[in-house]
Amino acid sequence: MKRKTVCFMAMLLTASMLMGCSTGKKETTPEAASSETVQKEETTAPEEAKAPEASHEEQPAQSSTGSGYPVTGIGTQISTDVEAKESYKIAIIVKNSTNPYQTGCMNGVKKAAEDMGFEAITMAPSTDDSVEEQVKIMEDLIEKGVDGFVLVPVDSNGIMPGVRKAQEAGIPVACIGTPAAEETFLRTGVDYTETGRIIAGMVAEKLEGKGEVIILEGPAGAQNAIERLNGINEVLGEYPDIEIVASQTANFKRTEGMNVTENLIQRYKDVDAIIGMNDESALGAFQALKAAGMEDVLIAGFDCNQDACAAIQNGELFASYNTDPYGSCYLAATYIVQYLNDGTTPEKYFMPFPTAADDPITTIDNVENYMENIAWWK
Amino acid sequence: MGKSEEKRKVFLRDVPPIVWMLLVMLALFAAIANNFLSVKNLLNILRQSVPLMILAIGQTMIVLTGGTDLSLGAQVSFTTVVWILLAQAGVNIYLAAPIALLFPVGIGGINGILVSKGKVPPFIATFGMQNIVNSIALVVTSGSSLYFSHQIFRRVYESKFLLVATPIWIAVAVFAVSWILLKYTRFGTNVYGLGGNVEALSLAGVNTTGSYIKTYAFAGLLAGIAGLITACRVESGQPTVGSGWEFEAVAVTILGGTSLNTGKGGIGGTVLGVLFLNMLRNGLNISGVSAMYQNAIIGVIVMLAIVLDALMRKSRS
Repeated sequence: MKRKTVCFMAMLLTASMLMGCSTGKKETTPEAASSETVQKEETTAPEEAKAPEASHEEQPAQSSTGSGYPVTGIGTQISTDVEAKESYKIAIIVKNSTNPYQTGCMNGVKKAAEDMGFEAITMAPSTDDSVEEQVKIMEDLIEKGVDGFVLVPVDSNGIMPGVRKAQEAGIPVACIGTPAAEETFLRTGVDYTETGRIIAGMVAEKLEGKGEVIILEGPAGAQNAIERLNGINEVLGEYPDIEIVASQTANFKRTEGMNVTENLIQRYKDVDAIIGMNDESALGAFQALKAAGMEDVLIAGFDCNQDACAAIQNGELFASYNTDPYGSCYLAATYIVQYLNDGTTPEKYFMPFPTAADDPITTIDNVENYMENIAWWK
Repeated sequence: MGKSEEKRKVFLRDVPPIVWMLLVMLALFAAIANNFLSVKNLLNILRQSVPLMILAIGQTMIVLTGGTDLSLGAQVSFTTVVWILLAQAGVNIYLAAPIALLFPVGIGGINGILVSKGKVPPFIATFGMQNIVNSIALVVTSGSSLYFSHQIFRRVYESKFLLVATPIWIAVAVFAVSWILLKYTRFGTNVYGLGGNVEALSLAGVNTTGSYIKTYAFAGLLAGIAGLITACRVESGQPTVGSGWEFEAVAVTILGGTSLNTGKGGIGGTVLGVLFLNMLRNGLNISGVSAMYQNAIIGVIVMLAIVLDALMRKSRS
């Protein structure tokens, strides 16, 4: 009898241990994901930089041959001519296995493995967003003997012990979105400042250079949110007749985007455009505007996630920037394969992707094509 | 001759089931995963196991008293946060470490008071505490990690003494101290007593309130030490790093043969339970099993192991 109770309780505990571990830090959007990873001090002096790193400075900043990227296309259309000379083992470690952005990352590397002929190892912490487990996985895989890491770090500083071990073992590390605290083989993913500039430019043009704009910021202190905001402010500042009437945080969340917008439109009844610093907050803004009968206000967001695309299709959202985790991770894997093939290093440490040259903007004009052929969340 | 054989049989029967399971798993992974049995990887597993091992020793003591402490994981996170906050505020980092330890000890003490004086079931009291502590950690850090640059982290985590990494020695020391406390002191006897028969204990003139408080505070101290080591491991303060560890600590305690309701068992089995769990993780990682399947596999194996353990013990008695 007692044994039975013990067994039952044990099972219960095991089950809860395996399922209910994460605290309420579930991400709702790709941006929220990176927002948790504030880089407080990027200026740590690296004590040592070993292995493939550190060679970037000697390389010319500009390539003589076009864009210099070893891939063409973005999203699921991405492809490359690079082929793996051996069947390398390349690991992708993401933050969790539940968020669509993270799944997009894993799928990108899987596709890269198919195209180039290497072995992809896809890993995620069993407790969502545990940087400690990410380090653990790196240590284990270094013992196993992998040839390269594509990383989506939960935290810039927390991931460093793993990154350092990889570098000591001569394994190249490419970071997506959130970079490691010290320079590694490669950083890719979007340049957040640029994304802000481009979306702000499109909004300003659509407004014909005048009007009132509200900005829904990301979490206070998050590095990527700060960079994106700087880009937006920089461009809107060039238009003397555009006034930013309010700039408040919506924490990259839909509900908060809705609440903040509801409050702000009480006061700013003549607002012409709202820029949500990710799709979720932009979608929240739309709900608030719809309820208030102000559907002619222009709304823009970032990520091109599934709901945003549907909203663009319905004319609810004006534009969104494709932050393309699929393509970014594919690109990172391509650089690693190149390096393993013949020692080629990227031109620079940070190779932003997708950039303006990759047509990253989705509007009603191209949303059908985007959803059909490119979308990273499919 | 017959006698010695008999002896050997008795000896074999006394080996806890977890040892057999550990050996089976070791053999299995050695066969299917390259590099699993390398000395470097085994030391790697040992070092990775240290924080959970220290935490689980504390959890085992609480389980022995007939309770569970669900706030231990939160205490780990909280300690990393307090330590780094103090360092950021200009407190010498070596001095800040013992100060940071006072917090989990205090939290454990409050748990003990709630359970003994307040008669709150441990499950509820510590679950409430878990939420409170988690919440404070998130508020003071606004949800992000805290960074402080200092060599102590790598000095503690990467350094070696007699060819073995320092954290492993810390775990050995914690184990030794806890083992002596449990085996040879009144405190230890009382821990077992609380789980066995509280009333008999208080009739015998033992201050049971004090015993509860001491046990929970000691578990808090161990959670704090686990927190300091974890901070060294991730070189930062992480407000959610320990989330879920309390459940892992309970699972490995049961795996190690400590009973949830009779005050029987000990920390030796728990240590083996921790090694079992971490070897399983490491083996799956090294075999390149995808993240999607890992949790399910671990869940099934841990469940089977616990059932097997219960059955083996039953057949013996």
